[in-house]
Amino acid sequence: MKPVTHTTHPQSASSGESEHVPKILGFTCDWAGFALDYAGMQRMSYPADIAFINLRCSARFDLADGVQALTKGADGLFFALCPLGDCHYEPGNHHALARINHLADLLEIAGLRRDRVAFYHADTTYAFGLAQAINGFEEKLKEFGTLSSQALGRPELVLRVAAMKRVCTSEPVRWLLSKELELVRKGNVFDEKLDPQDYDTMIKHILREEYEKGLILENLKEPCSAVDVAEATGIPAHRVFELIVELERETRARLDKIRKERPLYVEVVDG
Amino acid sequence: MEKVKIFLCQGCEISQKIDLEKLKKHFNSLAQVQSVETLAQLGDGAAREHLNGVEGALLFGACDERTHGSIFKFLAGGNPYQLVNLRERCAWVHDNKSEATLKAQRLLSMGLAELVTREHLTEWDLDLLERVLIIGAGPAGLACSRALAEQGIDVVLIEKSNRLGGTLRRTRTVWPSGEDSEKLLHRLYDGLQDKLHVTVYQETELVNLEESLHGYEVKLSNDAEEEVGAIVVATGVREVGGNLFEFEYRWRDRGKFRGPLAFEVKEGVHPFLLETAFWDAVMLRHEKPEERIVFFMPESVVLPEGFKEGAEKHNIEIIRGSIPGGVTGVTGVTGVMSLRPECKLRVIVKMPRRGTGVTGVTGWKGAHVKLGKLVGNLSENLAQALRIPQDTNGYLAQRRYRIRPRDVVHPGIFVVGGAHTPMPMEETINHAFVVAARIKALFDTKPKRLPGAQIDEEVCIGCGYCAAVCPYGAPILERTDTGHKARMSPRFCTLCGLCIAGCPVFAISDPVKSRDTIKAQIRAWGETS
Repeated sequence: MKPVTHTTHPQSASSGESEHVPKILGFTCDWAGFALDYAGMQRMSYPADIAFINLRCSARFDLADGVQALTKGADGLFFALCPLGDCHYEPGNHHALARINHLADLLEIAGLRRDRVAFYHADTTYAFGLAQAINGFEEKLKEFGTLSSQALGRPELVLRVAAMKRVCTSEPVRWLLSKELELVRKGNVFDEKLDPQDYDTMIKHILREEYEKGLILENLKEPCSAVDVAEATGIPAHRVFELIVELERETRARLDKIRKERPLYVEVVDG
Repeated sequence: MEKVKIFLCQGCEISQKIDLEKLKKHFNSLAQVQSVETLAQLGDGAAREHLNGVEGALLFGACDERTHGSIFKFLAGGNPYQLVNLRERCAWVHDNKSEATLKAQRLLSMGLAELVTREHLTEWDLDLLERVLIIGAGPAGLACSRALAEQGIDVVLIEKSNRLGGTLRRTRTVWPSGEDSEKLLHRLYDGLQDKLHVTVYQETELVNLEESLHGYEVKLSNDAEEEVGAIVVATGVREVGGNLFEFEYRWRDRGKFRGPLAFEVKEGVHPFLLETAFWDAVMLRHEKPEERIVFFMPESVVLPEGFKEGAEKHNIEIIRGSIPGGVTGVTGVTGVMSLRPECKLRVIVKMPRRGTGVTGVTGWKGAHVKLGKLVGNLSENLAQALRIPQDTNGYLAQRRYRIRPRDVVHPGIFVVGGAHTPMPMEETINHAFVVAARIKALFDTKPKRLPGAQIDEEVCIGCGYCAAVCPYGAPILERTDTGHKARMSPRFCTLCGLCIAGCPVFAISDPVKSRDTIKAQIRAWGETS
């Protein structure tokens, strides 16, 4: 995809560069933060357009926070976490990695690139590697262009990210994502362990379905027919109809009225 | 929320790399901010005087929390404050002044968002009772109680069996030094004898454990109830499927058996058992130069260094494979062994004897010692109550071994010696002393903790995710009339946030970095441009 200059980005405008300067939000755990400070002490330079939010453990990272960062103009998300097996909170970074993976899956499903999420296992002294990883990520993001360039404009991006947000805050999805390590390693109530690949396929399938449902619901804020929704979202009409039926069953959408022999559906708003 | 006063440090290249005047102008225009000041060096005497008596929320733009955190805590003087690292995270890594200024603005905005949205936290005083429960009176437990008693700390020592000494009482030699066990045991025991602070309960086990205000309330099987500030788990190891410990225990009766001696080694044997058996074999070789002594072991067993050479030297055979024909029906004899004359104890153990149990023609005609498997000695229930994870062999997991190997599992719960994994005796004793020192340090430093994560019971759906996923066992799933609800034990919570970020219904909240704080930070980050 061709890099497009982000007009709302004053930095690139003021410096007069044709190149897009990506905006990166970083999340770091307290302990990988050592590496960041160490990079400072060693005067290793990395791009200034990355700022980190400190979390106690990388496991504190919530998918919903990641999606919120996308709505606030992040072109990429970077994670600094402890090396696997060295987490100060036991399995914390395994869970964090799973969440990062789900976020990447979601980005891919939404037609944005999954490479917009990157992570680095930074031990205290891995400052050089960390700085290099950030530099590499920045280069990559420059190549990709802004997030909205990938989603064909700002309104389209807002729609997609809104659908992603619906996925991240949906209770069943969160429940399933959180259970990953338990289901894969310990087994379910019948002591059946899921194959990690099977689980991955299943998760991707469910994320896609939930994302499509989210897109449809975003379009059902006003009464709308299935065909119109299909046109707006680009999902095939028969699939839209299937999903709307499912949404009706889940009482998340309902039939509003029938106009010109076409049923119009609308989202059910709680409370 | 009252208005925020911002103080920016000019030292350490910050003023050269970052345009502080621009930042001042920007933040002065914000409604939340009362004043922005730049100081030559935050933390020096002049700044301290300047900040003396300042009230309200403070935001410092200066350096690292880890190196200078205590200074800023002092500067804030009890006011809510937030420290933003403009040095390592900004001035020292970015050369372009305008970019660095923008980043500093972002960082300060994020810090401001955190300061404004965060509740003012009061640290929770872990007012621990200076009394320690030690579970297991093996070498580790004895050494630890002695070291603690010498420092004037009350110790309650409980032992499952009716004799003190643990594994050390059962083995003839100390691994790996080869010292006489009894001598070491006497040393440990004598050191403990005249200590006033030690209460010993024999034939007693831990039944139940509950958090209390000053530590833990423990219930023992002898109906005693104690409140302690710390618990040391020194349960050690036990042998399963073998009789080497019994063989060693009855070492004095070795004259009773004649004939060849077989040591049957199983796969995955611990070097502790293998070396101990080897010393026995060498000892017996000196006493019975003519008898056959054989180690039967599978191919996969890796011999310790010098084992093969030693065996050759002392004419001890090593045969790879199982005993041809097998061994059946070893009968037992009784004997008396005493550690000290005043505490005699009659024990019944199975003693391998010549001629007994030889049935088949091909079977082993002689004494037979099996080397079993070493497993952890702590029961599953207790491990759960103490919230220490066990591996498949029953050993208690060493948490963060590479980072802080001897550190507490939970505030006030420690594991020493073989309960972690079988280890050399010197290491065990050393371990016990280290833990004793740590307990003393824990009591003396009067630790404070931040409040743990909180679960909103109204929102909780009782799915059990948090209880299943927490590595510290802080949330517990409880049955209620309508289903399940999770309850948090604040003492065990480390605020890692694993459950907070994974909760399907957002029922768990983090008092230090709440969901709102992170959202506000992201918003502040996004709006800065």
